[in-house]
Amino acid sequence: MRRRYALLATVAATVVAACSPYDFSAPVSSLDAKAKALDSAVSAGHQQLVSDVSTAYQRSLIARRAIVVVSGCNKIVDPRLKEPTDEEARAPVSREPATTASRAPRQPCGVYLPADNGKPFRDRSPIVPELADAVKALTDYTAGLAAVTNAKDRADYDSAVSDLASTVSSLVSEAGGVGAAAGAAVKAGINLLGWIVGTALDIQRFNTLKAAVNEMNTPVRKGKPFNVVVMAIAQQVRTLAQQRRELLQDDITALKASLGPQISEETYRLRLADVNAMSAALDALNQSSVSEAANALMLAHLQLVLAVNSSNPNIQNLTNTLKALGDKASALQTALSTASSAKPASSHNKGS
Amino acid sequence: MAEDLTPTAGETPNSAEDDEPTVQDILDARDAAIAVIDAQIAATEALQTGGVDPIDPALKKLRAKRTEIEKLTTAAIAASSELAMAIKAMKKATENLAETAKAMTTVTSTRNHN
Repeated sequence: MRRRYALLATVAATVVAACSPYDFSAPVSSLDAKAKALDSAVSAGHQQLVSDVSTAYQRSLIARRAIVVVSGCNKIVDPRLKEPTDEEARAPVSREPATTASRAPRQPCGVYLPADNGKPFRDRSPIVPELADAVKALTDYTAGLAAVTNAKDRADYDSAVSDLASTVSSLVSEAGGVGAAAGAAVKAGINLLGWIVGTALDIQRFNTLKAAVNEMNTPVRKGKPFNVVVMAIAQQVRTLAQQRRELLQDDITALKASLGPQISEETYRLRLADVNAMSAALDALNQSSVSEAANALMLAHLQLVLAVNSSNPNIQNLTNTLKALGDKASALQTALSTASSAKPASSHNKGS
Repeated sequence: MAEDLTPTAGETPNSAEDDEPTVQDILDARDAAIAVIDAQIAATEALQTGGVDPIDPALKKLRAKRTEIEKLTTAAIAASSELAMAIKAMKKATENLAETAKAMTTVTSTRNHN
């Protein structure tokens, strides 16, 4: 019986030595982080665009020396407190966080032209639902890859098995009659069984990792699923960046036209600071490339596919691509979240 | 009894999908259109004289056109069946990954409880 266990263990060890999921732990974690960076790029791009729209509105108020109204500041959202019913407790709960639920358009508390009073805020550049779904699918997928290659799980498992073996061994030893030798034998047996089960789970993890990345590398029509999803997200980021560019360029053009000897030096200085802030944000957008980040992400995934399928995986190649991707993703995030304002609300309070 | 040939969900005839452009086709069309706009922007900018330029309205229109192309491209990709299929496949793969990852952590937590 013991010989059979030993043989099984040897076979399992041979298989695992060739294909441990944990060999991919570091690069897959990095891939997961980069996918999340792309997700952040979408959020940052959208938020900054919304912020730019608001800033542009403030600039237009200042430019017109407009008479304004304060609006939307008396609508308090505060549902009543009540105890939940049993039916409510049994009802299925959506896994989506409440914050992502769509809300009715509203006018945020702020300063508006009288003509705009009460008009609900309309997001002119919402994230397309299908692409929000794509972002979630991508980040869930890379998180799934990270989960099956998480070496800590195996360490925790080994520790749990070891604790169990020690506990049972002590109980057997203390039970009397069978003695300490039996306790040691039981401990060794539990450890061996735990190791065999752990090895089987490792193999299962590796096989799932391999199946998943290969599936994502098999065309659904013409494009491979991973690439199709990444390209779709990249296009959404591109669109957000282009919308920001258009807004910034139009604002720079308008503000540039107001610069000249007809305004005071201080007003000139403040407006120039604004134009410079917008130009810097525009330059960062122009110099950052979502395509480079997306291309590197697709390359990294393909290298992961090749590494997982190889008996001699090239992890270093994958690591290098991910390092380069990290720099590109950071630059993209920075560019998309760069503020384009030199506080216009206070900067133009001096008349010309 | 006649065989029921009604396609079920996910088994639609291929012909309609085959005619539909892929995500890469859409992106290729976008690249071509953007290249034309960018050339027009460059040509217009070359006419710049400094100060308040008469070219500003023309550039504004071209920028708006560029944005429109990006938005249309995004909308076309979002509507493509290829993307829907890719997301579906990715979700399925993610489920398998999550289940497998869970197997080991479940064993660990069970042993820890014991």
